[in-house]
Amino acid sequence: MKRIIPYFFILPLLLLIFLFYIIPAISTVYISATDMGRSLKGNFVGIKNFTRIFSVEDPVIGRVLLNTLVYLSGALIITIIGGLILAIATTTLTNRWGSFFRIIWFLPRATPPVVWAFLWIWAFDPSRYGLLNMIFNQIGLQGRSWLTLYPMAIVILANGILGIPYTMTILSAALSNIPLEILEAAKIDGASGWKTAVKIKIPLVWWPLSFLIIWYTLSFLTSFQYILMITGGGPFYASTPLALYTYNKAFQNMELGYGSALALVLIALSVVIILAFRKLLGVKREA
Amino acid sequence: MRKIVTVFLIFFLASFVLSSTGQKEELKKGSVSIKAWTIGPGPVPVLRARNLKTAGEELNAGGLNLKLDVTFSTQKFGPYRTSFSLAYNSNSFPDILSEDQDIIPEYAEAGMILPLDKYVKAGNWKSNFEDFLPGMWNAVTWKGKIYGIPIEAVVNCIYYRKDVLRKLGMSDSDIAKAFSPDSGEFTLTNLVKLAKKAKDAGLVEWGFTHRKGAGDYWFNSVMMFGGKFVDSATGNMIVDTKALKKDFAFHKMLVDEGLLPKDMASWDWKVIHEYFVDGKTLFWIGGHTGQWKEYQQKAYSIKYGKVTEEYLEKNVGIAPFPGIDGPVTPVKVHAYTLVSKTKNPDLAFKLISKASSPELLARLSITTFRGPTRKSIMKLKDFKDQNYLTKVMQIMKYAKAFPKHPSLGKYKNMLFEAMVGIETGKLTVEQAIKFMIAKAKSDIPGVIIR
Repeated sequence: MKRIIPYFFILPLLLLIFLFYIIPAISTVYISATDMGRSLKGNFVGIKNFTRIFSVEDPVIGRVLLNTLVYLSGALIITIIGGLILAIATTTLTNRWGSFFRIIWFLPRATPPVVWAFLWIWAFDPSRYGLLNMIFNQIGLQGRSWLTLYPMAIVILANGILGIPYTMTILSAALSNIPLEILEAAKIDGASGWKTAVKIKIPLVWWPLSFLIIWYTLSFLTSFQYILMITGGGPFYASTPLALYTYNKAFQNMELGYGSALALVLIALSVVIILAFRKLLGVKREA
Repeated sequence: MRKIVTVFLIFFLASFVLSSTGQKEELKKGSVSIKAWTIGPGPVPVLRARNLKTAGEELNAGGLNLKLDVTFSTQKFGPYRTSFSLAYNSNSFPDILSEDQDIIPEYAEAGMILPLDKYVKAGNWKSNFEDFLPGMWNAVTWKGKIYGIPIEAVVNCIYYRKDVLRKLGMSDSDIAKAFSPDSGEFTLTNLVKLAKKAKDAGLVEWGFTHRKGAGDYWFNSVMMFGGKFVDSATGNMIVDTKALKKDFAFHKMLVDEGLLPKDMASWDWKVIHEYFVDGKTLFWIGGHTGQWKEYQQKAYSIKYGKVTEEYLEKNVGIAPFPGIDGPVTPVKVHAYTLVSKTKNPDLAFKLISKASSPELLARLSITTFRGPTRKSIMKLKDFKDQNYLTKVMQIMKYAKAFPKHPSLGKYKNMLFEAMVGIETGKLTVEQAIKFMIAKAKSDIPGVIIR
């Protein structure tokens, strides 16, 4: 009986994983081989949906893949570099001030997603009611159509900044665990703040840093809700990454078969990028 | 722990038993449950639902025992349609669904809605059938079968500012002549000239504004240039490159001349309406006649908040689109349809038939300022008393059927993307045409390029 009890507790979770992960995953593979549409009924079409993607029959695919790489790189750089700088900065301050700035920087993460998106929409609204245009008008400059001119930059900023708080928190914790004697020894040896950061602090937090890079790579590859709310992916696909394109195809055009094929390509792309990062970052399980 | 589990189990079983008892009680009374969903912005779905309820009450007073469950939705059409697809496949489907004509072919092809021919063409319904305005039945017909009862006509039109035109030195009779569809002066070229004059005189910020997002306007403007969408011989969709070229060139010209904002597609709805209601835009070309009511119900104007009927009468006018082959009023029909899985099609039809009576449809038209679908509605005093609806009827003379095809939604999205590309300067006219051809070939089976 004692042996069975742990399984009894694990069972509900396994059931949930089976229901909400395994079954949808298998369904996605199946649906990708059909022409399923709004009626949720589909005919088997084999690999037609994949050939549509890889033969670039869909004229937008190339653009969307390029957007995905630009968006991923931009947002990842902001999140990781921003979070690292803030973590190093706040851990060099006294505990009280360090905590104070960390709380301030954590606010974006605590903001509900819709509110966060609306703040960005408001800031870059093309009309005179947009925050930036209000400032421009006050100083005698003409307002701009920000969301039309710089859509990709805006979605990169909105998503990248949102990643900073979490990165900062994890890295702050890791940095706080660096033995003080190592830092003091560096100081005695005359290492500058920059050298201490580059040669000692970053190598010592390499494992959590690598984890964050991989975590956010996956997150940016698959998330699109802020882009959907801020630019809608436009204008003319200028800010549409693969995840948003997949969503639009599946749920706006109701091309569930093609959408599922795109989702599988997205998963494959994520796996390739993650494996590449593991190799590049030297992430290995310690013996 | 054991106690908690026991209490939970008792609670669960008790609720199950009570709910089954309730169902049995209901069946004992012999009542029939009919579930209906309605959709639309603002008060529109409420009224579509209320008419069904009123009809249900009337049928019950006549001896039936209907238990009506009507849900109205103010969601956008996308989520509403996704909810329906899921409900249809999970057996929690409604019996009655209110929908726009453009989705009817898709639902009909998938067998999700019922053909109504045996009901609407029956002898006892003949007088009703013949009472509908020309084109109404065609709007809800797919491959020769009728799939809905038309309940209102979304009449797409151009709104213009009379006060701005007066400031340009035009008298009221000049304005009436300029916007009279039958006068030779009502042309697209003349509208552009007026917009330029008003802009150069500093009377408006923009000559034209249109809607944001993918919507009916994009079809209206293609129709204005004589574009076709569906090949009548094959039933396949058409990419009419000749009309599209003119349409794209027209929008590009408006942006280049500073008459239309290049970022129009990213404007907020509130700002779009505020600009028109406050007279900062001369022509609002992305709307339909129902907005006349909306402007009185929502405080879009910074100067006046909600505007009055008198204000609109004095300062605003409506007109059809000045098409290259004559005036065009694109009309889209909204209809009550029956879901194919309904267990009570006869009763459900009785209900939508009753809810489509001239009196109830008149109530819908008067409240929403959308166009009527039946001739007898126009004879009712309440309808005739509405001055604005008389104007709506005048522009409905130029009604042109809205396109219908299962791939219309995909076409609409690609057309919108191409137009955004044109307006934001990311595409030339030629590039936009190339995009439309390539995307249509990729997304729409059997598409014909003309």
